[in-house]
Amino acid sequence: MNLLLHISSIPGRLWLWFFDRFIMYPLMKIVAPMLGVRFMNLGYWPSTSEDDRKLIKFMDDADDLEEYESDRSHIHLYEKAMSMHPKYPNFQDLEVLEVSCGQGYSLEWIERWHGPTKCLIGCDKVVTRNVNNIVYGNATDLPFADKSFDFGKKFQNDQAAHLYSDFRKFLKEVSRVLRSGGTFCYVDVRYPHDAYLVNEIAESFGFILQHFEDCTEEVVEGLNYSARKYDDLLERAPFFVKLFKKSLRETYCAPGTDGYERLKSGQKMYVAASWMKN
Amino acid sequence: MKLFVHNFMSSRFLKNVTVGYPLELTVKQFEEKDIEFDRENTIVMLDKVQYEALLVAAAAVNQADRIPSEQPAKYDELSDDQLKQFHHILMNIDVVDGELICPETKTVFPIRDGIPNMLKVDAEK
Repeated sequence: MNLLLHISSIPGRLWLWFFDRFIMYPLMKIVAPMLGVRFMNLGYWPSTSEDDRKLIKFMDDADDLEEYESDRSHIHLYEKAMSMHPKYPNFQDLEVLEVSCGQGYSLEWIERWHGPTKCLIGCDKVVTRNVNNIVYGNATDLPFADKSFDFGKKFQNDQAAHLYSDFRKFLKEVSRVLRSGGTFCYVDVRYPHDAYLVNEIAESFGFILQHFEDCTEEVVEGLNYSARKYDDLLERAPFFVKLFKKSLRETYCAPGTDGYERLKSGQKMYVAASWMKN
Repeated sequence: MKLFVHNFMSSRFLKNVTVGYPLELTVKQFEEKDIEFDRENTIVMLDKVQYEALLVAAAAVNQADRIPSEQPAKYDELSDDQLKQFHHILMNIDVVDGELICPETKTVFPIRDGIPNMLKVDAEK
């Protein structure tokens, strides 16, 4: 019976694989600015654990967050990734690269709340806005010189890494462009059986593990906030976007979707990790 | 694309490229802005800049005469006026339209609307 269920779910999974890679980002390029979507990660809601202490303090101390209130869950996830950096929350004098920076709002966030950085560059395959220092580039072919950066985010790879065609190649590139002593912060959804392989791959490229955490519960909690917002936006979206409503809800793991249930049940996990380059 | 971004960029990811740096740069259109000068930040940035690449970028916008042809020994010994010239090149110049070119394979990566496109699929040989 389980085998039958598994087989019957394959077409749906194949469609979602195709949708995520070939439809969603071009669609978002048109729709995101139209609907005011700034951040596209799943979201995160911090717990009272020691691992979230710095993040909570930063958010409590930050002023003027009213304009970001609807994006708080997404911002929490960025902050979660950055909080693993030893210099958090102050990234002055760091040369920072964000891979899969999306529309660039995260770059603006970093510069405003954690800067001024010495240098902040964003890289993505899909660029929707001409913001400062953003480059079209592929995560597995990073268009940067060797040892250019102190801090890699995705290097803060907020969850798009599972979409990379070759994760090993991506980590090799991260290692190449990061200076010795630099930090790579990573958050992403993984299957439990390969979540710990991520560290093995990282170590094979000269990274030393600094932090590794299963933050699935906090992401599931964050989804309850972010999905509510996205569902509301979807209701107001043009018809050609609503044609993909079911797939979009799967992409942002709205409650009730397979993606959400897999995270909630532990079939998939959300990993937060950071490494130092040897 | 601010000119300082050029200093970080490389075509190293291309097949058969061993260094891919610095990228050649041709500029068809650029804008000059007036970003506030900060002595300390400029010195910090210059300490990490590859000078050869900086000269390439400055020459591409015909402003190489603003800065010495040889790297100064100590940036913190320069006057504010001298540092402002470096600041202008690094931070005030925004390339709107141009090309980045791999120095080894001559693969061309376009810059359109201020955004460099370093995707292999969009590059021109």
